[in-house]
Amino acid sequence: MAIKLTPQGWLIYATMALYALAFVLLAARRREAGWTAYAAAFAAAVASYVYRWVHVGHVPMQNVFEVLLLMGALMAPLSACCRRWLGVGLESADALVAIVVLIPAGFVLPEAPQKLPPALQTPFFVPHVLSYMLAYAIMAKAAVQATAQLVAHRRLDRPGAYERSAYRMVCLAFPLLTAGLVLGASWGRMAWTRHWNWDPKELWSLAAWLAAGVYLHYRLITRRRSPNVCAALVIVAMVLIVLTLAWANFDRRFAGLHSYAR
Amino acid sequence: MRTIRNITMLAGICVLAALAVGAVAGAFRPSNEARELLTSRPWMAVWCALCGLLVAGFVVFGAFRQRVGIAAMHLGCVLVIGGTMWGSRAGHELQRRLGRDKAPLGYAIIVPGAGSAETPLYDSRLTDWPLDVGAELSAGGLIKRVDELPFELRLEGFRTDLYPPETGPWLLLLDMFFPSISQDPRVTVQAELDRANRQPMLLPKTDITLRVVSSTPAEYDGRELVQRPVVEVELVRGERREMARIEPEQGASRVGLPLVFLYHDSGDWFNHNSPAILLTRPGMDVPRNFLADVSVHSDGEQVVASTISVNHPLHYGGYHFYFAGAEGDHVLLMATSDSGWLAVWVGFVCVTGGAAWRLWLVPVYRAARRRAGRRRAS
Repeated sequence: MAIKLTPQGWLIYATMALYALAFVLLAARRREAGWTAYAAAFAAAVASYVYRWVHVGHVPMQNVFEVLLLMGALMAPLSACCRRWLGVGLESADALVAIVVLIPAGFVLPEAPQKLPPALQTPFFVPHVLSYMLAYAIMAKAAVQATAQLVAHRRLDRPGAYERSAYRMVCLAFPLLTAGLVLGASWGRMAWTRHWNWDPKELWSLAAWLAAGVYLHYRLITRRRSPNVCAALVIVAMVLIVLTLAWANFDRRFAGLHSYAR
Repeated sequence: MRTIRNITMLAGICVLAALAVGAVAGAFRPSNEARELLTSRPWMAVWCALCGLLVAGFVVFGAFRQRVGIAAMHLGCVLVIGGTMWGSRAGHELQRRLGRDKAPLGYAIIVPGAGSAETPLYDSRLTDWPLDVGAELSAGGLIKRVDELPFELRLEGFRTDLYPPETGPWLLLLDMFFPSISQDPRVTVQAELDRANRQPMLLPKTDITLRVVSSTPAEYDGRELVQRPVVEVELVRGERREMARIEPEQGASRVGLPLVFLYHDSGDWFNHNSPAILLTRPGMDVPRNFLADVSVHSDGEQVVASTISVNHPLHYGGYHFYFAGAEGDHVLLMATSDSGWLAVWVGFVCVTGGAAWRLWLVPVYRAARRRAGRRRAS
């Protein structure tokens, strides 16, 4: 754990501070000021990402540090779009998620630039990582809604309202999770000779995709009669995603073809 | 019918959950063990059950047949699983029984110039590939011939594309290993070449002093490195002195230092693990890609010419050829059979397209229709 006294570090901390301000203002129901802080946090996150891009000389999606910067930048527009077009709320919690995502980037992970290894120089690289990061950010929002369903279901006027929001988020994320998996498998065929290499990270991401599939089928069969079980399934899928991104990347027992992502 | 539908759906959920549990269990093992686990007979039964349920879905659920997105997603899953099974070792065994003999995987060693009309494929146990393959084969050693391709693969050229070096200072790196020290036996010392010029360095955990006697700077032609730097160092231990010249060659900048000479009384260092000195700079010798120019000849005629690099295999004659290594003027290619490959690709497109159609486009279309209806009503 170390403070980064570099321009990159300061940009990350500014983003975190603005997200924290947005969280406080939105939680205090000062919506206009809260959204202004959200917009400022997004601007800082974009500045941080662009700075990284210029610094490393390639699209910064190579390691966990860079993808966390990307996720931090995605949360604000995602929150705004979901509110505007899907009517999914709890934006203050999204700000909190963004802060949690940026903590490892700001204090734990090294920021030393790395050259792109030969395997990453392919047109699959950006769409594969971008699909997954978008899907993970949306699934994080789904997990927030699912948690709200489990915590507040007895106090709701319309039981299952948060679960319906979670469902909309999962519907948005599932094609992206599928695209990430499929693009990764296609890339694996090009770079590593096989579509599927039984690599730990591949298996973790398959488990997350299957868990999302279980949720969608279970919701269909129960016809929304068990919103709490559905919410719990969304949380299980999110836990698997967190394990894919965090545990599978850093624990040495999961060393494999994706180890360059550390 | 409703009961059958519910049972089918419930069974599908159970199979998906079981596969998720299996994937997590496999993730805790090395990839070869995970493959063995999840392709073992009990798990193959689970994969087959999934395929069976997906097919059953088309029979019992009207939505499978009537809704394009749902049909594409589930049909895509069948194609991916079926294509992968057809391309597996077991699938190739089945193909062999059906009269289509083809190795699922093999290695080809290619050299410049004309060779024989056929290209032998060796088995996958070849990991540390010897140059003298003929001797290895005649000795009945590590490698075995698994197939014979009916065309010749010829190497036209091989090169490693390197990143341009960065503009930072040259570094003198010393990498030492002390087997007798149980805690942190490896010691790495790093000094900028200019700084090392000024003052002698005492090597950590030793009483050896290293002094740079002279250094010739590197020369550049624009960003290209024309001449690497040359450094002469003096190593001193008590009364003993040793001079060493470090002149790294392209691609082999690591030079062993003769510290064994200074340490007759130490059991730590032998010739094979004596400390090494590295003259380098950040971003030096970092490969961007490996490129092998390969041509395919059939009946003496060139039919294909291609550059194989990482992410760009050559597809010819039912095989994909991948770059797998190079030594001297030999290049090792890995050949994998393309059986089932097309079905998997079509399956991928169906699964992704179907999911996007069903979960994105259909709801957007319905919302737009609802909005238009409201507008008309008002």
